[in-house]
Amino acid sequence: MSSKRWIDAWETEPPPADFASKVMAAYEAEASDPPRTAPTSPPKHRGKTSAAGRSRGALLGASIAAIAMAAAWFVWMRRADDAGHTVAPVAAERGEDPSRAETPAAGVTSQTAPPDGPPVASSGVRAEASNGPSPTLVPPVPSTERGKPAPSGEVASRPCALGDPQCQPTSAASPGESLGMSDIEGVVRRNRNDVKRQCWSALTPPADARARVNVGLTILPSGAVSAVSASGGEGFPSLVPCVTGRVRTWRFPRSDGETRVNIPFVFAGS
Amino acid sequence: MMRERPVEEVPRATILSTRSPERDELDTPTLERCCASDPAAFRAFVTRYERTVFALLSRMLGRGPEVEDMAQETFLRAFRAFPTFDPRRAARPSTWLLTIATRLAIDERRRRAPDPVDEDDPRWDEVTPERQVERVELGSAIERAAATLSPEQRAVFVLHEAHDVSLSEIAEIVGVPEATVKTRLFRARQKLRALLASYAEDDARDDT
Repeated sequence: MSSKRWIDAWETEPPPADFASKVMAAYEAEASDPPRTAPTSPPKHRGKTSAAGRSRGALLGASIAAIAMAAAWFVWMRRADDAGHTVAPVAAERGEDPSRAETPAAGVTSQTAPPDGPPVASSGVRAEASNGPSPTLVPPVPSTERGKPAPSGEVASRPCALGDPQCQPTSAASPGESLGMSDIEGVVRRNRNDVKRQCWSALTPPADARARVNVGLTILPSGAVSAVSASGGEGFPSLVPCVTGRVRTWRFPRSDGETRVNIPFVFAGS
Repeated sequence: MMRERPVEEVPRATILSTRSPERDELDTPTLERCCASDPAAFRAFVTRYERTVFALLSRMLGRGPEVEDMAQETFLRAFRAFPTFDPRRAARPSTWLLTIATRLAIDERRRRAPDPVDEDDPRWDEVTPERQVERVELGSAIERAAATLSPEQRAVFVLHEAHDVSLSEIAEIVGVPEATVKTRLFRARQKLRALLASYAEDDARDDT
């Protein structure tokens, strides 16, 4: 048998003539607004998981001990303190105030660095107000939005083209330690081409077609997606069901709380 | 706005030369400029290795629009990682780039549902040597046969057979011991040989 003959006969996809230009355009767009995720270096160590998975695992491992100690300390402090204090975030965490739990926009507004609120560290971690039960890991706010309150009644967002490295979801964390934006962005980045391929390219839209779909989802502590809602997609009736169907299958890293995310998809071109 | 490319100008798929194109590596000064994030050097890097990356991703993922998406992601990751790349000490840049592409492709294949390939498919029986002397048919047959391999077996087979990457380099790329690479390569060949038995017989006749 001849593997060489097989290989030579195995057809491959040729790069388009303007591929280098496309890559450079994507690179320049990324350079003008770099993602906050750590750069991916070529892996030098052994292991079966991806490089991103390994770095996330290492970060998680290093953080677990510190988080556990901090949590234990705060629990002990709360018990030692006056136990009669009622703290709103704790009530929300226990589901005692459903209206608070079901208004992600309010959550975003309250957690995306109000102008006169406590300073947000570059790591995205800040202490809650004095009556807060514990430090809250706040998802890092996109740099373009950091320091600005989200518009009232809607989750802060901006157009996000598929394939555009500037594509940034916004998230609203429930009380408790939740997913970081880099985790969410990583999942979005890994899956966006799949969404584009399955939901947009499959429609064979004309070259000048354009559609926007806003997807809101809730990520459970297990990493599964629980509630997905979407709007937009005018002119393409099958687009929204397709996008929500794909997003529903996504898996995020585990976390200690629910995270609500808004992801705007902008489809353009053929 | 994206413009549709006339099909006549660029064929959708062409048979590429697959043997050792990466031996002719990009020169060290250009690589050093890449490390300094020089856009002109990046463009030269893409132009030099785009066919290699497309060839690998096509064979790992199958032909289709996702190949271009993954190729773009491969180069963007390479650009980000260039500051840590030492062109005078590190492995060949093609191997380094193939590492990134291979891991992306393996992750992508793991995420996907398995290709709907049935080894009992009667089409395999239709593949008789008389009817598949055409190269295109052989290419199609190996594409279907490769779809039966696991992502890891497929990566090892493609890297070794199509890109002339050594077993030790493949071990580094996929992050397993060299012995495991040998095993995977053996099993991949064994499986392909079984599925393409008619071609093997055809080859034997040609050789005599």
